[in-house]
Amino acid sequence: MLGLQLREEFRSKRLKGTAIELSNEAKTGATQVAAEQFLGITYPTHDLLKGIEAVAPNQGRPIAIIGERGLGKSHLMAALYHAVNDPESTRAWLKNWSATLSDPKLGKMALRDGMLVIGESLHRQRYKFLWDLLFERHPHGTYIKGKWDATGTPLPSDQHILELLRKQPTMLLLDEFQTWYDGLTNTKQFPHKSWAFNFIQILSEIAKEHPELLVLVVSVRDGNTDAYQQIHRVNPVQIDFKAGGSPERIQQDRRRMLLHRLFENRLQITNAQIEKLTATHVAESFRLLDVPSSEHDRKRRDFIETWPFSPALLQLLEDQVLVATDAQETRDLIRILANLFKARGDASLILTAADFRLDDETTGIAALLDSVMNQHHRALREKALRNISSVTEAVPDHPVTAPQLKELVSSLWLRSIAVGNLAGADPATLQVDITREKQIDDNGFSVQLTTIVGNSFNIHQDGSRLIFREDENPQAKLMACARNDRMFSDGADLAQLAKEVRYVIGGSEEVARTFRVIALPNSWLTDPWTALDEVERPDQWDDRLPILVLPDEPDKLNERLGQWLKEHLQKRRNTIRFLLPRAGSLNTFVDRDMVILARAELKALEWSTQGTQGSDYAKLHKKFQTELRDILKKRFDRFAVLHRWNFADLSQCQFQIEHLQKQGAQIPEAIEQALTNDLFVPEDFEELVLEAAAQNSPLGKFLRELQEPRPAGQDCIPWLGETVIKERMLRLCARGKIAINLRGTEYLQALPGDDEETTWRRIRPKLSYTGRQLEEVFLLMPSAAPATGGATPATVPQPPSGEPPTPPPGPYPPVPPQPIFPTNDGARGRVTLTNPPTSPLNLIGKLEGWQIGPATPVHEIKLALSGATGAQLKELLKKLPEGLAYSLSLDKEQDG
Amino acid sequence: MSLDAALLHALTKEAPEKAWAAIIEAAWAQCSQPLAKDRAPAEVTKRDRQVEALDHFLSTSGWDLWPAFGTAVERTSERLVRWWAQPFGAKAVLILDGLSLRELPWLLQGAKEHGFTIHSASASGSELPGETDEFARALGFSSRSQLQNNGAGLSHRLPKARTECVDMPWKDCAQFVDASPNWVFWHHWPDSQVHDGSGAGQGLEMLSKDAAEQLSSNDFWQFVETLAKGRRLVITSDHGYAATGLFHDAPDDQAKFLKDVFKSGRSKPGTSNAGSAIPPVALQITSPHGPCLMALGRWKWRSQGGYPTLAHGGLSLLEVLSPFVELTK
Repeated sequence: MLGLQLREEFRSKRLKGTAIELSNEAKTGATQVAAEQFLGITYPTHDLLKGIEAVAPNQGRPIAIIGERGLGKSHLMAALYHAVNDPESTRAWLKNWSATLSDPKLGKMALRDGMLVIGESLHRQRYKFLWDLLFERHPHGTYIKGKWDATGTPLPSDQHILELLRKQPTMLLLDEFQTWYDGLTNTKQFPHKSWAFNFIQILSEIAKEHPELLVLVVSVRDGNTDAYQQIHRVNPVQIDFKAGGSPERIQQDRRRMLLHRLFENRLQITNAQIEKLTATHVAESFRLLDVPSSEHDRKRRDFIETWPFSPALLQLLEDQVLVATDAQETRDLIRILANLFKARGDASLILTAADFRLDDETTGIAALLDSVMNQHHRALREKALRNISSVTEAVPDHPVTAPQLKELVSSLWLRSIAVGNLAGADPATLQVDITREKQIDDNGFSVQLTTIVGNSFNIHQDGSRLIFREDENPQAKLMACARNDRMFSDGADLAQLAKEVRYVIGGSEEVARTFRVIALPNSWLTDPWTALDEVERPDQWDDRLPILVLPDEPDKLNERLGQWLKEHLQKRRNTIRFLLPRAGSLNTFVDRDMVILARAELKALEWSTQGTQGSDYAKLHKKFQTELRDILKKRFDRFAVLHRWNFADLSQCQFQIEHLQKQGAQIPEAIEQALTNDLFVPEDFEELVLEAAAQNSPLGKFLRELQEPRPAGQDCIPWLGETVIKERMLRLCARGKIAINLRGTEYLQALPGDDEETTWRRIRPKLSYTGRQLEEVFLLMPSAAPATGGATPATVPQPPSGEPPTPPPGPYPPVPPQPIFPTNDGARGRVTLTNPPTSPLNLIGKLEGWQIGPATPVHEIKLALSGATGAQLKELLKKLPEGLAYSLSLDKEQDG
Repeated sequence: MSLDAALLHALTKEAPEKAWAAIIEAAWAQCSQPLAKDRAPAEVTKRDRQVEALDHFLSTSGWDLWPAFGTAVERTSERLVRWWAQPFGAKAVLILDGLSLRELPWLLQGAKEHGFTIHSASASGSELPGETDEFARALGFSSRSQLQNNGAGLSHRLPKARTECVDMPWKDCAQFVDASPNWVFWHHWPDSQVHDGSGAGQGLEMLSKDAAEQLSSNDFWQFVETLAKGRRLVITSDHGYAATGLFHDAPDDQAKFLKDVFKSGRSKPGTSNAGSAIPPVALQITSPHGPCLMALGRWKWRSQGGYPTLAHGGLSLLEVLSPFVELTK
C-alpha cells in the first residue's frame, strides 16, 4: 500500500508486547537504550511536551503522571529521562519535530542539564524503601546513608536528603509508584507504608522548594490513591493524557502518535497519493452518509491524516470498542492496528472495520479479543462465524449474491461490540466499510445485505441499525433455517405445505368427514401416490368425496386430466373433483415464498417446545401459519369435474370447469353446491335410474357404475356421494317411478293413494344399507313389485318433444338382466325418415327439419351412395366419428 | 569586483581555513543575490566576472591556498555524510550534477515561493579534481550510474538510502520517489547541459536560461516537494563548472603547455610537470583521490576540436564550490 512499512518491531510474525520498561536484565529497557533510538519512536504529544516543559530549568513543581494502564505513562517517563539525561539528543529531536510540525516553539524548548537521573520501575520490588534507591544510585548515597544510620531515625531526614542532593542535583523518576505503594505492609511492627508516605512528603517538599536540586516524577493510575495525595499537597504538574482538555487535540495527538509509532515511513507518503488511492472510498462515504458539502474538506483531511486506517475505524476502536471494555487503550490499539495492517495492508486501500476478518486470526482480531478480554465478545464472534456459515450453507450461490459476506459480517460484528446506543451499524455505514477501489452498486448491496440478514440468526434490527446480539433473533434464525435447502432434503417442508393445503381446504382432519382433500405432490402427473400417506391412496379411499388439489394448472387441461385419470386411477374416476390454482400462479411446491413459509412454520413448531425462546417460536409459528394459510386460501379459484370420458382418445375427454366464489374451507361446500345446482341434471339421473330399474339392477352395481364415467362420450352424471344419490333414488321411489327390493324382505314403492310426501316420509329411513348389502338391494320398475291395491303404472321416458307420440307400453314382462347402459334399443316408438340423394349440406338441413338435435337418439342409420371412387370412400370413412361401429357393403366393379 | 582591504587581509594574513572562509563568504555574497528570470543570462555573466577577482588572486598570488582547499573547506561529500548521520527524521539528498553557485538564487527564491523552510544554505567544496566519479567514490559509490534503480548496495556512506540516478524530466522523476524514508536522487542535470552546450560558444548564456527555466518550473518544485515529504532534503551538487568561454586566452607558451598537458580537459591524474610559469597555470594537488595536476586560473587555450566554453575539473572557484541547501516543507 504505497510502500507504507511497519516499524521493524511490528514486522515479526508474533507481535511483541509494546509495554515500556524503564530498565531490564537484557539492557533493552527504555532508559538503557540510546536516547536517539528511543526518541526515534517517540512522537511529541501534548502531554510529553508538557512533561518536558515541567522538567525544564527553573520549574519548581513535582510531576505526577496519572493514567490507566496502557496510556503511555512509562513511555512518557522514559522520554523525560532522556530529556534530562541526554539533552543534546533531545534538542535535536525537538528541532526535527519542530520542522516537521512547523512549530518553532518545540525547537526553542529549554532543557535541564547536568542532573543525575535516577529512574526505577518500583513494581519490580528491587528496593524495600525509597531511600534505598536514592542511596544506592546516588554517587554520595553511601556517605549520607552512613550519616543517617548514625542518627537512628526510622527514615532519613530532609536535611540528609538535601545534603545528598546538594552534592549532586538529581531527577528521580518513580514508575509504577502506586502499584508499589499500595503493596506496602502497614502494621505496627512494619509501618512501611507510613514511612513511604512520610518520605514521599519529604521528597515532594524538597522538589517544590529546591527545584534546582530535585526533580520528582511519579506515575500513578488514578488520583485517589494515598500515594498520589501526598504529592498532590504540593500542587504538582499533572499529566493526565487529556491533551490539555481539548478533545480534538487528544484525538489528533493520539492518531499522529499511533501512526508514527506504527510506521517508519508514514510521513513520507504524499497527500496526493493518499487522495488518489482513497478517492472512491471517500466519495462514497460522503454520498452514503450524507455528509454536507461544507464538511467535505474537513473530512477529507481526516481521511488523509488517519490513512491507512479510516477515521471511522479509529474512532470506532478508540471511542466505542476499547473505551467500552477493559482494554489498555493506546497499547492495545497499537497491537490491534499493527496486526490489522500486517494482515490486510496489502489487500485494502484503506483499512476499515470490514478488514477485521472473523475467520482470520491474523487480522488483528486476536489482538482485539485479547485486549477486550470479554467473554461476551468472544461468544459474539463465535455466533458471527456461525452466521457466516449459515449464510454460505443456505445460499448456494453466495459468491455471487453475497460476494462480500465476510467483510460485511466482520464489520457488523466489530461495530456491534461497541456499547450504548451506538452499537451496530446502519446499512449505509456497512456499505462504506466495504467500499474500496470500486463503487458498490446500491441495489446490489441491498440484495447482498438482505441475503445476509435473512440467512443469519444473530442479526437484530434495532431501528434503522443492524446489530449482532448473542441471543438469537428467532425470526432471523427461523428464516435462515427455512432458506437452507439442505435442512429439508427429506421433503418435510413439502409435506408440511401439503398438510397446510389440506387444512385450508378441508379444515382440520377431524372436521373433514364429508370430503377427502388430497394435495397432490409436485410429481402429480407422473407419480401422484408414492409421496402421499398410504391412507390417502385411492385403494384406501372411503365414501368421502375426493377433492384433489393440483399444485399447478396443467396445460391442455382436458387432455392432461383425462390422461391422469386413465393412468393413475383405476376406479371411481367420476367421483374426482380437481381443485385448480389461479391461472398463472406458480406450482405450489415450487413457489419459493410458500415453501419457505411452510418451512418456517414447521421449524417454529418444532422449536416452540425447546429452549428458553420457545414462546417466541410459538408466536412465530402462529404468525407464519397465518401468513401461509392466507396465501393458500386465496390460491384456488376453480374446480374441474369430468364431463365426457373417452378412454380411447384422451384428447376427446372433457371436463367441466367451474369458478368458485368461496375461499379456504368453504371451497368443498361450494363445489358441492355447484355440482348439485349447476352440473347435476336430475332428468339424466332419472333416466339412468329407470334404465337400471328396468333391468332389475342391484343398487350396489348401479352406484358403482355411477362412480365411473359414462362410455361412448356420454355426459357424465356428477357423483354427489352415496347418501345423496340414495336419497335421490328414494325420491324417485316416492314419486312412484321405481320400486326398491330391500334384500327380499321388503319392497319400497309408492302405494296407491299415498302422495309423494307421505311415501317419502315412510321409505326414507329404510334404505340404510351400505357396502355389500347393497348388492342385495334391487331396483325394479314399480309394477314388477308385488303390491296390494294396485300400482301406479310406470312412466317410460318420453322421447324428446316434437317426436311422434310413442305407443303405450304393453304388459310388463319380467325384464331379463341387461347392462345398465344399453347401447341401442328398442322398446321405444320409431319413425323412419328418408330423403332422396342430395348434397351433404342439404342433408344437414334436413336433419334440422326432422328435429333431430345433438342429443336425439337415432337408430338404424343408413347413408346410401349410388357410386363413388375408392378415394372418396376412404375420405368418407376417415371422417366418421370414433367410438361407433359401422358396417359396409358395396358393389365393386370387376376388373376388365 | 575589487578586493577590499579586510578581505585582502584575510586572504593574505589569516590561516588557510579563515582565508577560505572569507573567499567563500565573498563568493556566496555575489552569487546568492536574487535573480530575475528575464535578466538572468546577463546577470549571471556579470556575477561570473565579479568572482573573477577572487580567482585572479588565487591564481596569481594566493595559489598556495589551493593545496589547503581539501582540508580547509568542508567537502560536500563529507558534509553530506555528517548530515546523514544526524539522528531523527527521514532524509533525502538531491544531487544536481554540476550545479554551481550561479544557480543558487533559483533554489533560494523557489524554496520560499513554494513554501519550503530553508534550514541552512551554504557552499561546500567539491572533490579535487571536481569530477563526478570522484564525488561518487567519496560517498562510497563505485560510480554515479551505480545509483540507478536502487543499485547502490549496502556498503556506501549514506546507509539505508534508496537511490536513483536518471536524466529525465522532473515530472517523471517524481514518479520514482516512493515511500522509502531515506532517498538519494542524483540527477544528471545540469551537467548534461554543461557538456551538451559546451561547444556552442554561447554556453553560459544558454545554460543560464535553461537553469532559470528548470529551477523555476512547477515540475521541479513538485519533484522537490515529493522528495521533501516527511524528509529533510538537501539539494547539492558534486561539483560546479567554469564558464571557460569567458576566460582569457593564455599566452602562447603557456597555452602550448596547457594544451599539451590537459588537451581539452582541466585536470590530469597523477604526478606531472606543473610547468615553469610563475604565477603557475597548473598546480599539482594531492587529495584523497591521489595526486593530480589541475589547470589553475582563468586561462583558456585552443585545442583540437575547439576548447569547450563550459568545463569542470580545474581550480577556479565556481567549479569547486557547490551549493548545500537544507530545506523542509
